Amino acid sequence: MARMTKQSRQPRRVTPRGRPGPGGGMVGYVDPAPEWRGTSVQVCGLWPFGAGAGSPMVGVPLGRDLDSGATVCCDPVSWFMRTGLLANPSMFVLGRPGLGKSTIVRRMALGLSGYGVHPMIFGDLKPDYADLIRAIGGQVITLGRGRGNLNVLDPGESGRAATRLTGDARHRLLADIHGRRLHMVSALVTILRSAPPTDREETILSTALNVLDDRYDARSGRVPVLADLVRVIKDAPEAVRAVALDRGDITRYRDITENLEASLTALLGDGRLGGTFARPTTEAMKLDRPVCFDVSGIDDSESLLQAAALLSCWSYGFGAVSAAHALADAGLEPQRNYFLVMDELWRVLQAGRGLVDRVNALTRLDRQRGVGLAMITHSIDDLMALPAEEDRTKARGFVERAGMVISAGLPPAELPQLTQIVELTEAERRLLVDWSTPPAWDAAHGRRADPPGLGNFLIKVGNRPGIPVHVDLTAAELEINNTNRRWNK
Amino acid sequence: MATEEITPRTYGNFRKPHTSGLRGLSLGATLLLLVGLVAVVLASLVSLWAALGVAMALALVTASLGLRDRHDRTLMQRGAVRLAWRRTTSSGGHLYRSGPLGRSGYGTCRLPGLAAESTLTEAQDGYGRPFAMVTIPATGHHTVVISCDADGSALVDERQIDTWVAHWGQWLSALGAEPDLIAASVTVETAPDSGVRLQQEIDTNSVAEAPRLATEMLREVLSSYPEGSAQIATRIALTYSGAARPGMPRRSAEDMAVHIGTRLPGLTAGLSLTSAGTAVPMTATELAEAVRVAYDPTVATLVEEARATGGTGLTWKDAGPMAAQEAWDHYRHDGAFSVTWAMTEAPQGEVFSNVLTGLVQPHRDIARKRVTLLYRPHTRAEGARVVQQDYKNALFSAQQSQIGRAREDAEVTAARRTTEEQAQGHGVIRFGLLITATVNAASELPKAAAAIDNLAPAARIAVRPVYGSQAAAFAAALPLGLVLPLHTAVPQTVRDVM
Repeated sequence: MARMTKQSRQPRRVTPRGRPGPGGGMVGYVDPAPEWRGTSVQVCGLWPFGAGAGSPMVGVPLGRDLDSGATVCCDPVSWFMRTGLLANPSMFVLGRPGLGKSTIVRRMALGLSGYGVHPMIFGDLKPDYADLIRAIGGQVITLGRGRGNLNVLDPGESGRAATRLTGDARHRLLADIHGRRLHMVSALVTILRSAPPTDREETILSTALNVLDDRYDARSGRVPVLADLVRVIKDAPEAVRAVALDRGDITRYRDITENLEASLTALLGDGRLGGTFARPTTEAMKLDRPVCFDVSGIDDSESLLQAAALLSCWSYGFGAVSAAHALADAGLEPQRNYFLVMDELWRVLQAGRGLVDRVNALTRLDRQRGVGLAMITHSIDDLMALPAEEDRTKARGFVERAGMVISAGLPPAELPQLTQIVELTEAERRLLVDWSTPPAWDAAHGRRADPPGLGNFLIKVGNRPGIPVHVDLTAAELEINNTNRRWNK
Repeated sequence: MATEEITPRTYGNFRKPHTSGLRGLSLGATLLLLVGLVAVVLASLVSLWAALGVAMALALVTASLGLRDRHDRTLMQRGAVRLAWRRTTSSGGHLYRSGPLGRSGYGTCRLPGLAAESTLTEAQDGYGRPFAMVTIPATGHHTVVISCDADGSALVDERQIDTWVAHWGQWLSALGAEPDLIAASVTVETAPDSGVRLQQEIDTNSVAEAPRLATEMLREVLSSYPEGSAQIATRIALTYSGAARPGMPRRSAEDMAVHIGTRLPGLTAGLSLTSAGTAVPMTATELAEAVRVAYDPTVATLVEEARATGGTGLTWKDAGPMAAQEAWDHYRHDGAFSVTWAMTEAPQGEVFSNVLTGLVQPHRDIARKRVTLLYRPHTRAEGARVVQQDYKNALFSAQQSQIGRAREDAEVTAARRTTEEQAQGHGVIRFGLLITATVNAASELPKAAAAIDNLAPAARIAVRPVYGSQAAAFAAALPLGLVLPLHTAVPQTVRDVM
């Protein structure tokens, strides 16, 4: 408020120093900041860009930046689709057990479900995710001996999708189904034998599967099981005999297929893999809601069964997702986005030689758009401990190809391995080692103290500086999962 | 440069430009003393009393020019500020009232003080990007502001930082060769995160059929995360002069806009390697918003919300404060209180490149903080001349004292190194630094001052509040391109020798 004065209220002319008169804000004295002088090679040392502006505010809010306290938002789907920072919408999560690896993935899954992306948990061994998926109205499919079965020859959603498609799209999908089945059966044989099937056996399997398809048309309504595949091989149809190169000699044919038959038979009954994959699927997966395959019923001692179960879930799930893509492309279904989680990757990769290739083949999608992928493993050492060199190289490719790498605390011994794949600066390495510090003994309260690095993660995209983030859980999340109670400080 | 050296690079050798006369007096004071002594001799011919009187006056003047406080300010300067402040307060110039009932004219909210005459135009640069240009008619200055997105040095290797800093040096060096460029400033502003961006992100992406749990989680995140986190904005202002100079008549704002437009793409591209991040020129609306928020932080949230929903439409006429009041040691503008400090001593000795990082990072005790580095590059020719002059002065001082004092020897060495660096093609640049802390209540000012008192020594600089000139200093710390040394009443050449 200017005081009422008797002088005219006409504002006076503006001068270079402001408007004269009371209330005009004219500057009386200009006191320039003292100036110093230097050459540009020295003056640049007073570098003003040391404080980072933070990460893009795009994606699911995860927590706060440990340096600046700014909110960090990040998830592979949003970053790939809306920032252009990622080459593909996949992420690799690694870190010591107990530091909250699954927590950050759970947060992304929950946030993405709020953004209309369906999380799909392909194989949950703990169970880490089943509660969450149930809480957001998803489908939880239980697998394991006597709990639930997943028929590896069941194309699931893909089969139904193929009947609705026509022309090229249909052919592509059928070829995809065939490829997946072949890879899956070969992978199971690999797990069983700890060695991959020979190329001749693979050819026999491939032809046998084709024969099987002719016998059980998709319209017949009955889905073949492994037993039917074994029967096809036993029946020795002409096509299979031709590729088995038995030279018209049935006894030679029997010799050739003996090992394969033995392996497949072992898969059927109460062999090492317990028939879980040889019986008709107990519950079909739906594509319009979150899904979790709960395989926690399988005991940790049965590592082969665990690997087989995980692999089957991946095969089945990825098959369903590519079917959904095909339907969306044909305009028969709405375009849906998924966030796929592959936990405990190393269990599968270590189950046998050549499985890295199988995983690659089974988790291949024609289109990356709108499908986020999270691969979780304990450490790089798990991948680097593979016996065969080519497997190690391919496993390394998993990490290298991932759009981003999220790492929790890691023991110092693992860093050299990691730095070969992910460019880490000295400061980042220190941070990761610090976070892997073991928790202190809390003698006073007689309870387990939280590890210092709990909930801290480093988000690396390419060779950009990492984003250190602490995931702050909300009350809503704490209620749904008991393993989170520990976070309650 | 991939050298295998482990020793971190250090920087230093900053000199305060001053002319040297006798015994630490400046050249001006020395000349005054000599003329005065002649006058005393002449006066003694008239009468002894007159001579005594002149001698007393001379002693007083020399003392006021020769005695410097710890901030290197003479008694004369301090007296001048006091006198000017008294004049300002008695004429009511320390008050500013704008808007419909104010004195700024026509019901607008123009900027107060030195920027009162400024106008804002928008043009397009060589890439077709729109950019805003602030024109200050009195000095013929035209300023363009580039907004950056710094990466930060938190988890980066020393070598990478050295690369960035080296490129920053190159960029600064190139400023000296930039035609008509007279000043540049880098403003790093930290402000509390309003949470609007997060809210936008969540609101635009959430779907109607989201599970209840996800909605709850997102709502809780929105209410708890933004609290206590900060936003950092980095802005670089480049000030060009369109004033007449030999062989070049005064140029209009349109001509300067074309000139700056052709220069901008190269300058923004050069910033990409300095870790300043993506450099984009600010549009007129963005700049008006930034200035408006600086003068009235309470509208920050509103501005962000409006920006996300179709723009604020703020113009330069509304960018200023509704009311502002300058005090001796702080500045009150709309709903906030600010204090501006100036650096009175650059880091002495050798410093690492992270020396300012602590200063520019967000601080708990200061709601909003602006750290502005003001650069005035010398042209190549000027640079060569001034470093040569520095070297001569250093030699002169060293020869004055019979016993070679270590300090003077060091000065000579340092000055020599500077001449060598200049000769190798590096630019010579003058720099100052202003820090503005803005808080929401007068009672928080002491806390902010204490925080700055802690931050400044860590950054190896000495600071003092710009007493009696808070309004001008506040405006100079904004990315407006106000080059204060060119706005003073006493011309710079005179001030330099005093």
